[in-house]
Amino acid sequence: MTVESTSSAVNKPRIGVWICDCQGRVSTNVDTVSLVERAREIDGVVTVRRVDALCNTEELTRLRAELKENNINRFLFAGCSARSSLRFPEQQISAVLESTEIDKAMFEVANIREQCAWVHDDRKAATAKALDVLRMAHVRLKLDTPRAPATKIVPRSLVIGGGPAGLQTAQDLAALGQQVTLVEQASYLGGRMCQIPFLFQTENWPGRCVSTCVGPVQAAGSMFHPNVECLTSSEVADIERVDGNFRAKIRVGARFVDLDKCISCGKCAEVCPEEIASEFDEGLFRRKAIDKDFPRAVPDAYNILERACTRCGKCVEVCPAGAINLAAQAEEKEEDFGAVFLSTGFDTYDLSRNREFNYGLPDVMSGMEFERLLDRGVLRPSNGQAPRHIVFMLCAGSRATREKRGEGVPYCSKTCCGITMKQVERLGLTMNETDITVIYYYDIRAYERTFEAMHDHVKRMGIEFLQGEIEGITGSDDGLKIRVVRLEDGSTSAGAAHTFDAEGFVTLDADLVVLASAQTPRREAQPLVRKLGLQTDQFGFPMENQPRIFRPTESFVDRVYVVGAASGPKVVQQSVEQGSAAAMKAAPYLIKGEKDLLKFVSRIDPAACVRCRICETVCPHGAIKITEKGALSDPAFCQGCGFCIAACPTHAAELINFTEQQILDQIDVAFQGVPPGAPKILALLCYWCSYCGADLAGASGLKLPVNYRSIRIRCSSSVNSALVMEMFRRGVDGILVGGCPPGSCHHVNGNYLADKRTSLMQKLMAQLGLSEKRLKFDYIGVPHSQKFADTITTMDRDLRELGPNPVAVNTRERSEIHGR
Amino acid sequence: MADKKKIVMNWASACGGCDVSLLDIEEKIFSVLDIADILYWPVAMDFKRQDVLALGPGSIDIGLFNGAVRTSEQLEDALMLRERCKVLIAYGACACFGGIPGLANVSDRAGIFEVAYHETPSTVNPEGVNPQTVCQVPEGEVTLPKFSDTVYALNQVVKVDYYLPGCPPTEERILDAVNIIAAYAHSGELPPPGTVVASQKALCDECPRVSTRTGTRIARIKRPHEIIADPGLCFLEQGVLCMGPFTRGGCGGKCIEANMPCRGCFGPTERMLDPGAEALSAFGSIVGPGGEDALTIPEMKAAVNSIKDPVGTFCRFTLPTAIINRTLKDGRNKVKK
Repeated sequence: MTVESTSSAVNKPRIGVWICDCQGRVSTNVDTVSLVERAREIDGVVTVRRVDALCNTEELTRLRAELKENNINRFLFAGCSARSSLRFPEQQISAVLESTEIDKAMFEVANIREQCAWVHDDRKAATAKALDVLRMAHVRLKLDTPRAPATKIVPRSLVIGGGPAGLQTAQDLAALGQQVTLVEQASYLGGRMCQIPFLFQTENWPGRCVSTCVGPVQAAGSMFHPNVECLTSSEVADIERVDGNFRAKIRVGARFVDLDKCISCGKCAEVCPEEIASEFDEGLFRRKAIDKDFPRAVPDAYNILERACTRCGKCVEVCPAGAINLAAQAEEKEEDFGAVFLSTGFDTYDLSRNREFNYGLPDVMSGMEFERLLDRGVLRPSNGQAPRHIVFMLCAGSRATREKRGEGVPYCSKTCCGITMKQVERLGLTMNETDITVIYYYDIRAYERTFEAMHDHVKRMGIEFLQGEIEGITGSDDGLKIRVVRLEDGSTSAGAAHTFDAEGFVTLDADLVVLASAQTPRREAQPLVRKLGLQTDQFGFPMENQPRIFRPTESFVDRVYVVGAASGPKVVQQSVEQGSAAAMKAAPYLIKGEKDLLKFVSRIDPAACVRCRICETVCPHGAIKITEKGALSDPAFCQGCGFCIAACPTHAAELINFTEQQILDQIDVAFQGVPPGAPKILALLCYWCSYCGADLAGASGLKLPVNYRSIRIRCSSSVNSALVMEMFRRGVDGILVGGCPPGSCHHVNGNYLADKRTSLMQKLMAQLGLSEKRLKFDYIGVPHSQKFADTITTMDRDLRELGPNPVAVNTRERSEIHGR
Repeated sequence: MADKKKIVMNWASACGGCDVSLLDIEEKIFSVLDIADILYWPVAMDFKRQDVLALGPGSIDIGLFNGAVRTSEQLEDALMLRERCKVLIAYGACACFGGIPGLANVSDRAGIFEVAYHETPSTVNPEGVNPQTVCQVPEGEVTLPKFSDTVYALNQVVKVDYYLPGCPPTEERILDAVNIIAAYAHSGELPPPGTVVASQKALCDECPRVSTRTGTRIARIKRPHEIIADPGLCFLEQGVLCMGPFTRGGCGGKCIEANMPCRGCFGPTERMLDPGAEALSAFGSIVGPGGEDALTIPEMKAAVNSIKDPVGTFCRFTLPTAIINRTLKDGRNKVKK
């Protein structure tokens, strides 16, 4: 349905009102017969129906037919809550409207069940409230506008990072017939997975894989799929959000070696005189300036490291395929994408930050470096001899809480215990002559079945485990000395070979130390994270959208997915799972080729915008960008939270279908049925948590003062404090703002913003002699209906003591002065 | 040449800066005299109130009223000029929105007298005398205007035709007003009633520093004296609360030029519902370090809680025109239905 086809119809509202008795569950406490009579008098209403239960199939069929027959263009339902009803929620209403000509934005629900009939026993008062609630829904509906046409989504996806996660996304999308561009910085596909010789499955003991086997298979799934364009040695130089899509500048690295012609014979590397430390081997081994990073690398071609090549031309002379062109240049191309997958992997914690590790010593290495030794032979880098005693240190740079000395990230990297168990197990199986000690900090977190099984296995092998913290590592010609200190809380569990002395120290001799370093956010991805407008957590990892449990890989920015270790420490299998999940999350948009806009989207009027960027600062969804003409909110990215309207200094921003006018019109009709002398209490309840919490008060049989009204607001942070002030001016006696409980906001931090603003408002009110009891913020979650009921009841009591709101009285007095 | 217009300038509850500002236009003041005769200007000319009272209704073309309305005399002046002036212009922030004197609305007459005549360390008032409206002295009866509880903006007591905001109005905007007077003198044409002689947009629109704004939050508020501000960088970027986004432009950004943040003397832009609460809402949103999930509630609120005086910060020039325009006595003074 297009706007054009409805615009004439919309100009003349034809409102259909359906009032549901809920088989007596509404009509016992609310006189729906009189409600029908009053509804007929309301402006624009052409049809009023009262039904026993609208939610059964027969009534729904009749509803669809009657909406069509009567040319209804706006649907008003009075009955159960659109938010929490289990039989006729907004999803069901949308489905009904889908089958009619009515746009899905053009309905409103008067919740006369959960927050009226179920919480008020006085039938007369409840009926008066129900009428107010109906009028509130009507004034909203009257000014509702249909959604703008859907935004066209470019049917091509950009996968940034070709590790196991990105490869999985690419091949899953390709299998759905989608076009994919995969950009990988390295010369090969597979990412860090290729550096790890032995992989494990987390929940399926004893499944094992070697990357030599699965690496090329995973890479080939994308490499040879006609729908996937794999750009290795390339990077995304820039990305911006344009018209609901993403415009990326991709820098395709210079193709010194033609990937099409090279057949990896290796003659070039044989003659190449230049050597350089191999990044693939974590700097432990060297490669030629022209070389292949590892034999099973895909694409199967040699590559030239520009920084090492002297352009001597020897390789060109010997290449039988004529594949080498030393004059090749990098190219830049710009392309539009409908979805972006950030699978940029992780960095390892910089161990040189902790002086006690003495990471500069050649035989002190990170876990990732040790993976390369496991592949190439476990020999000491310092002298090339087999180590006699290897010490593994867990939590190297992880779990650095304030109590712990030294540098590090505060979180648990969660993968290191499992990975270390795997490494120790490999050694135990193959190097019988080598002693092994695992030093762990606090505890072993072997949380998966596989991890615990490996943990158990290595303990039975006789591996020593020592709990403590590394005080310092020193090196000499004889080897390494590791001084370990007992944990301050006294928990000691020295293994058989080593025990703590009276001072709480023990010194171990070793000749190789492996530090299980933390996975940290990918530094090189930070500019992209910023440009995409992603929210990051306190550690710098991009955050997933709330409710996170049900939205794996979805970032706070529409159609940007954070996949694999890019969003936090993960092992290969978990990254692959995320790759598939992300592909599936994006598929509906890509397959449909468009994104339906939400009912609530923000719009910024350039005539009033002064480019102060406050809206951009608060927007949690990266929907706002600054142009020459002013701030621009992209409706395809807007998630309708309303932060911009609450923060815009000049009222340039407005939220369609949640306008100031619609809110204030509701205030004007909301309290007509309030008994004289009773305080007018308004609950502004956030769309998800708090409104549902209030609904469930009714479902739990709680009773509330009949003089409260509620408005389901877009987020607790969607109402400007000035609007709250205006509500006081219009005679509301007390206002409760309800937001999601801490950590649960669907828009990152709306609950906190509302809490902060309310505190500030209360301070202003106190300065001006208005009781702080008239404005309250509370974190009200779905299970907090008792808290909601208590809060409203307390406000009712307090406001009765306070008497009428003096702002309204003062305003009336002022208007008398004006009239002079 | 059309008729010369008759102009008056009044001084109500204000510091006198507005009167001085008229002289800021320097020699151009003479062009005013070419088109108009000044009939009354207490600070500069020797005409008395009785001279104005003697004039009939509508006999003055243009009245410039500076200062807020605080006393009975100022109210009488406002009424006197309204009756006699064809066009009445609120001149300066005090007349437009109450201005700095309007902040007195956080107290009332009794409270102000208590502080001014009893509490301040410099007051010597052993007999505890308060000003009286009528007082008998040997020479006879002397009177003082009544000091009211509330300071009003001019448009709260009489109808105002135009607004010339600023503390004081800037030279450029005064010249705009002079041009309006000149156009009126020449052709009798006037701008639409209610016109504010300033920009229609907020100050940021004309601020050279706005381009340096990056959209970062204000992790910690810095008061102007706490930093040496970078003269090229938006104040919000530097953690200083600047009222530019909430304030009508047109002042030429003189404070910004002097490396001080905007305090809001040009008043709110047109769409704003309440000058103070608007700024409160925006700053309440962007002040704080972010990453709230990892903070305790007190840590999360610490930055906004450092705003000690929301009224003085956000309603510095506008309190009398705010929705709550004076201290209320909530709960202490039950109002009859």
